[in-house]
Amino acid sequence: MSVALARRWLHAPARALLVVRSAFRRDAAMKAAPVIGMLVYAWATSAFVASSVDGYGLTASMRVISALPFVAPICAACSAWEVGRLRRGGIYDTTSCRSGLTVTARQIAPTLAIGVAALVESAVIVWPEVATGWMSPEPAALAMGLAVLVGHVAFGVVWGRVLPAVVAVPGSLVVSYAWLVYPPALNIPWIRHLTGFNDSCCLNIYKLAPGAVLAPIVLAVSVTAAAFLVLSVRSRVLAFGAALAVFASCLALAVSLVSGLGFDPVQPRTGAMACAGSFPRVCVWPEHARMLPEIAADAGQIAAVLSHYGLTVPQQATESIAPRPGPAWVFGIGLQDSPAQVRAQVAAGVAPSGPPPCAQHASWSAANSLMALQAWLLLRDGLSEATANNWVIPDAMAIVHRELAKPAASQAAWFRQAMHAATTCAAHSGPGLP
Amino acid sequence: MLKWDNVVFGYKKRYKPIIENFTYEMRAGVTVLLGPNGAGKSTLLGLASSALSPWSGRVLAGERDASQRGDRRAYRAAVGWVPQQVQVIPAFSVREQVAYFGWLKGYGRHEAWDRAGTALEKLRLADAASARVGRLSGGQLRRVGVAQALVHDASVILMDEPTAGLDPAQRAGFRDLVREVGEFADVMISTHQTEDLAEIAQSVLLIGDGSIRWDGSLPDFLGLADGASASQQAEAAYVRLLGSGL
Repeated sequence: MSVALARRWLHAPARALLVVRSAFRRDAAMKAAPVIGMLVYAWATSAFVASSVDGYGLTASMRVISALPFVAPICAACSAWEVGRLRRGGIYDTTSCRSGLTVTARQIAPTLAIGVAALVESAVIVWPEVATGWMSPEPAALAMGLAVLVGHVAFGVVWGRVLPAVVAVPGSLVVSYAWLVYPPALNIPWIRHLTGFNDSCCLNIYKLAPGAVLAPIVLAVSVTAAAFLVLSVRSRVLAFGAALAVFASCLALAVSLVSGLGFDPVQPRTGAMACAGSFPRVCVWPEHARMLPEIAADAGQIAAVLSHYGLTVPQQATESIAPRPGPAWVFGIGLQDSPAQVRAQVAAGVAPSGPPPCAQHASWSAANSLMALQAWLLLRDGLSEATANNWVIPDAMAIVHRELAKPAASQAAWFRQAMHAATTCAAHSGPGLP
Repeated sequence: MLKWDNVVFGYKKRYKPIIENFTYEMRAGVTVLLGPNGAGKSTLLGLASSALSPWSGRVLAGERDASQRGDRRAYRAAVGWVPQQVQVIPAFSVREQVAYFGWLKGYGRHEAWDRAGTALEKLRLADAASARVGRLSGGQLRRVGVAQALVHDASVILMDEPTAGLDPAQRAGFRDLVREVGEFADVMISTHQTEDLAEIAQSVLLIGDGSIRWDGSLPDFLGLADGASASQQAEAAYVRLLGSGL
């Protein structure tokens, strides 16, 4: 080992200490880090964040990045401050051998690192709180969160490069925060999906629509590209013209990606399921796999009841809401559900869970039939009256009690008729049906 | 060596250029660039530093052309520039500020840090290395500006009105500094204060309206006029030349 190298090794700890001390003195993000850390901790440990995750990686990932409103605006303000400091220090006008882009990247690197660390902190707190076993994170959601963070930092860069610090720093903080939290509060579905912030996403029967993932990424990339242009093109007019053009075209693309989405930017979840049994074949999402034996037994029991009454037994009982041919037996369960609740969900799943799609355009008046069907299934499955009462209104229970007093063939006929009424819009009420 | 080759430059295309067909090759040692306010001194240094780009013509450091993208990095590494207003990042210490300029000039962080220490020692600023640059006096700031120009071993150092705003004691100190810097780099200093040049310059370049009015050695310049002291001679020569053509 050379003498110079040995000296460097000997000086390394002192040098590292100096670097850390200097970073705390010089970097706005280092000063802001404790505040960001505390805000993220308070948010990530709140009851809301851990609720309704149900072992689903996407929901957990979205809860992790739901800390963005506490992270991204402060990072935007820090980057505006750092870039403003370079501007005031005349660094962009010096005869540097490094490009403005490189110089800026070095200056905002700590800010970006603090932002990423805050999201990691969020993950480290949220994950153990919500995970009930192995839970794979959703890479698309996390990538979206990172892209949004980078976009907000780039936004701060543009403001810091152009405006005086007294405007750029508070301005970027407020605008960045408002952009994350205000659009999701609006009654316009598509606008809320541009921000990348969606703390209520998603039930485990859904996955994020690709447009809802891509739109915030496209916008973040456009803001980053705009910052790139502002930093690297010498002519101000040209730089701002190009930056505006890039942003406007990306905004148009992003809007087109989310314009068809409803209030929840989701589509039916697909992917591998854990399955058991053959008639019916019971399939649940992987996070519910350990409940599968009980669910398969419950499903077998209700299938036996249906067979006893000569009713059609759907071939598959599943948690997936993806459309499929044939009669649907779709149930929804949660990890926190009691065995009785699971059994009730599985039994009631034979009946539709809500109005048919045609009800959006035509009249449908079989709500009581639907509830009566569910109540009949619960009671025939051996569940208690009290459990059934929790599911349906008294009118529906009255119908069921009348039917239960009749012979099996009559009950089967009523079941078929009620099922028809519940799944179509042109159905008329039959005997015993409201 | 620095060379302006048929350089044309103006700040607005719709106006007449303020530097027209300017050709000059810098001499070794310390050259003082003289001229009245508005003569184009800062513009010439700005072009030489590559902070400005000529409309036509070339500014060369050896074979490296400041306007050529491929040459610019090497050009900027060879030329150090101390602008009229030395701007700093207030939260930085003196050594951090100088090291940062070393990094800007292409060195790695560790090397820039070591070089900053050496540059500060050269300029006898080592004691102030930990001081915040935001709290320095005008004279100390100039020294930091020079340290920034020295941190990357520039072969040419350009100083734009370095003594403007300094008190007499600071100016005397600065003249000593320029003499020291002149020992390891060629220096060009713009000023309109003739009393400074007699003690530091080996060559004089006098410009007016963006073109050369006089170019030669200091003794030749001083020989243009009589005076009791070198600075009075210089002032008289300056007035005589200005009066002859400006």
